[in-house]
Amino acid sequence: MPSANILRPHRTPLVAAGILLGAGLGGFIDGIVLHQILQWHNMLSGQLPPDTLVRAKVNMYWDGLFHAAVWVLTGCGLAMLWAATGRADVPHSSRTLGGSLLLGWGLLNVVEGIIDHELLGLHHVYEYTPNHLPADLGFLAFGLALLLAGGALVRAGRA
Amino acid sequence: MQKIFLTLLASLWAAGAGACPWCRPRVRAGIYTPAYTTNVFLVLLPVAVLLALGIGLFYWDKLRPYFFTSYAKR
Repeated sequence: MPSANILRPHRTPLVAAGILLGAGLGGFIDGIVLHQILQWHNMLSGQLPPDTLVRAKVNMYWDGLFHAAVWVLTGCGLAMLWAATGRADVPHSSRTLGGSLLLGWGLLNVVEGIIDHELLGLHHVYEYTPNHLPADLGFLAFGLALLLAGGALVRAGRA
Repeated sequence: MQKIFLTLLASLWAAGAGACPWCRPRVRAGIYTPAYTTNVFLVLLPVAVLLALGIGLFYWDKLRPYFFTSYAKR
């Protein structure tokens, strides 16, 4: 039944677009709030503490590279969203998109938290303490909460 | 008001303040170390993982039959 296949709704393109957009915007929140406004850490502050002007500027470079990368994520998400909204088989669901945005933000926190904070030690969420674990775990817990909320919203979008 | 205007006007002719001219070579040396490529890879790694996940999910409908066909042929 080819006609039934054509009309079958495909939500994965919208979910994928929302995840990339959410991850990109979540990366901007991380950079703007934690790097620049609160100045809790920089991308390489675990390896190169920004305790001199030169070291702070070197860290600023790596922050800039991270921001450029999350800009690319956001751009790809936007392109995917544009492509998905032009398809008749992709349902126009605000809940699915909103949930996917939260999923993307949560995924960024969890993936970045595990790779950068725990495995590689490039930086920690709050550098100005000898015990980095509580803030790192709080960051991961916030990411998991976003994943749960996003998943629930995406499931609600099925209806 | 006139004093403020004159001060602002005079500042146009003032010598430009150097934004740490002495530290720029040191900053460049701090960035372009032998570990530069490794640092680029490490900083971009989480973003690359998420990008691969998103692109894979976006094209999942097209990729899924390919994977299933590939497994079936083995």
